[in-house]
Amino acid sequence: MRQIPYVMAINEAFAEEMARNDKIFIIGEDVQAGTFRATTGLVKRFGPDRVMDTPLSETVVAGAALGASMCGYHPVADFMFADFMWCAADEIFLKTAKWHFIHGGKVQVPIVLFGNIGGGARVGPEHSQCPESVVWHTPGLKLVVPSCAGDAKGLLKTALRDPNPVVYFYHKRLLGLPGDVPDGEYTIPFGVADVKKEGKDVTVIATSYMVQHALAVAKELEGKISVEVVDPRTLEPFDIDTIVKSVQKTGRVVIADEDTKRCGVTGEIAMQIMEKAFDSLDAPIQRVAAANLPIAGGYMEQYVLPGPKDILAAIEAVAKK
Amino acid sequence: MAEYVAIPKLGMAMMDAMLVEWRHKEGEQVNKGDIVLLIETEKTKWEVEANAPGFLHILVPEDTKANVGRVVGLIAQTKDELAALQKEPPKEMYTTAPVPSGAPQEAMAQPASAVTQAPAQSTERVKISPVARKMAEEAMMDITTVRGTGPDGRIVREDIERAITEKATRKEAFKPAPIAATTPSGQVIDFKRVKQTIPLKSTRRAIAEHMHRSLQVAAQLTNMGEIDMSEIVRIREGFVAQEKTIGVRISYTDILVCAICKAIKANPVINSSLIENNIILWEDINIGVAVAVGEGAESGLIVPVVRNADKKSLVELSQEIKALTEKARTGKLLPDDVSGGTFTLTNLGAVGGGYGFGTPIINQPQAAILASGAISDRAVVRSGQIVIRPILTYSFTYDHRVIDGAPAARFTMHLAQLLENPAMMLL
Repeated sequence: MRQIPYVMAINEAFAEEMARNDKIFIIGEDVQAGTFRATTGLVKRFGPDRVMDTPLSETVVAGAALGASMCGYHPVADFMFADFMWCAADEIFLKTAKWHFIHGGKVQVPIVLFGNIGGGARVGPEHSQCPESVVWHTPGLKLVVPSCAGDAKGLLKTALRDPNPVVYFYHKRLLGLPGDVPDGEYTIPFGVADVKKEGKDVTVIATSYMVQHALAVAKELEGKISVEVVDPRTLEPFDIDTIVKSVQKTGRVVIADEDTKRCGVTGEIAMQIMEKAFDSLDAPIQRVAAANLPIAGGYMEQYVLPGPKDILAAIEAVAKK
Repeated sequence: MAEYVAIPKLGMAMMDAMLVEWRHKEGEQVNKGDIVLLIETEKTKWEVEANAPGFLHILVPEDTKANVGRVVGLIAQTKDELAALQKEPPKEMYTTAPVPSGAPQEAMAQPASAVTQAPAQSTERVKISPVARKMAEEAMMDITTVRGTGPDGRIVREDIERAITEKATRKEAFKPAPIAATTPSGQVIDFKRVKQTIPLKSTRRAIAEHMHRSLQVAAQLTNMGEIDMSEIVRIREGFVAQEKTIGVRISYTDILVCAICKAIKANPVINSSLIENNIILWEDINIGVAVAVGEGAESGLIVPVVRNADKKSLVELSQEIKALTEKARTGKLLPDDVSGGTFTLTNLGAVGGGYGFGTPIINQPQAAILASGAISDRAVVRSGQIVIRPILTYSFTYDHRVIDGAPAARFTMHLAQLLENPAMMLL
């Protein structure tokens, strides 16, 4: 299968879906140039009406997208850094997430809320977060967190066909990572977790960039501890069944996610496992997540962010005999 | 509140158990950990211990079958409680352990006892993982007696698995129930003097019931014949000479199992069961290999099962049969080791049976069984000449409800072809 970088897979998904549906347009700050290359080149093909640069105002990006979506368009609101969605919190959390419900189902707001997440680029506390938990916490928003090029493309195409608001978070450290991407048309449904690697001793549930760390650690442990890596791929909808099946097999669980540990994604997943598979657990669940601190600037960030060493330690702790 | 004495779940396939012997009498005082009851599942025995000190009240008598989870006795804390219990009419009760379908719903509604939980009298909470706790509950194991090997001494899944195996293999668990001569030697019954009286108990009773039931439910008939083993004897002697290289001493039983699998593959109806209104052809070929155990009055028969025998090499078969035979002889078989057979081989040659034939009885719910005799030199006619050849006798019993004469003959002919021309086994 051909291999292309993660960000190119995203770019390809935009191009294919924009050609397929002329109601799709991208709006954001510097989307014509494309800060992370996710939207680079699209303006040449689809013109400035469909790849629209805005002033530095996330309120404008989110508000315009919301209005357009109610008029029959399918906008992509690009916040560049997902951290800055918070500037448009009213538009996103109070309106986009709720208006379908407020209007008794008569109004649809098909928007892709597009943002780059994650640390590892030493760009400080306002440009390094993985704000998944707040989005997941909010009813009315779907949440996609792809971990590889193939998933990034297939899931973005599904997002661009979904009649609901979908938050799509892609990770900085994955941008250049090549991965298998099938030729031709394909989509990946929401709510279907992917077992990235089978194993029998420990289940590692990982999201986004953490999946790549988990796979590397699993490889390192081969012959010692057999690790199964499960990637939920979308947090809303969430495929707990695949996870339960894995937990029933291994009885031992590590959850790795880059959002802050407190009230984070790892806690929610752990609780769902306890509710659905308590009798299969053979050891307390271990969480790997960012420390309860703002992501530190520069080289200090490594002391806040979770990494392969933390995943390794958690697997060893949970598998301890 | 009285503690329960109940039937534990010891294997995935276990549905019920026979109450072989109450080791304490009605009303007798027992201590926590005392063995109060010996039960038998399929062909494995298990000792049920008292979970608490008190006075035993028996609800279900010996020689009765009880489903997994059924409460068969109670342990009263005081003599007054015992007296009260003895006055109550007996009713069928179950613990919270899974109850096989068909058990009365009403019984399931009975209040759960503390028997399956950490003992209340223990002041320190036992550290145990959820999955280990669930397994211990199903096996009705007292978790205070299990040593935890997890962090901080937590009991984990492996510890429960080990505890079940260890308990099953404990020597005393396999001592047959003491044979009580209820009729003294020398007594005369109907002009006949008694030499010894052996109570029909445990394995002996199980065999008696199985064999009698098999003859009652199936239409059994037996085909007999001879197989020229010249080639197999030569090959097997070669294997024995190469024992060091092969790593295991290949026996005729191993070769027979291998050949049977190939003959079954070509004749799938042999590998079947008649269950209610259906003949089920089994995909898996699981061969039971009968093993004689014990001596004299304590003798018995156990049939451990080699699962997916058709998928195993001769060396793997040999290793597994040896391991199972050893487990059978030392009483270490677990219920799962003797479950799931689809065909049985009983090689009487292995115990010195000579040139002879018999009518083996099918191991229900299988559809056929093969008995083989010893290989002995016989005079046979080949190309108009009388020559001496090593001959194996076989007796093949099949259930005519499922298998007609022609397919049965095809199977035995196929088996004979394979053994007379072993090169065929390579095909």
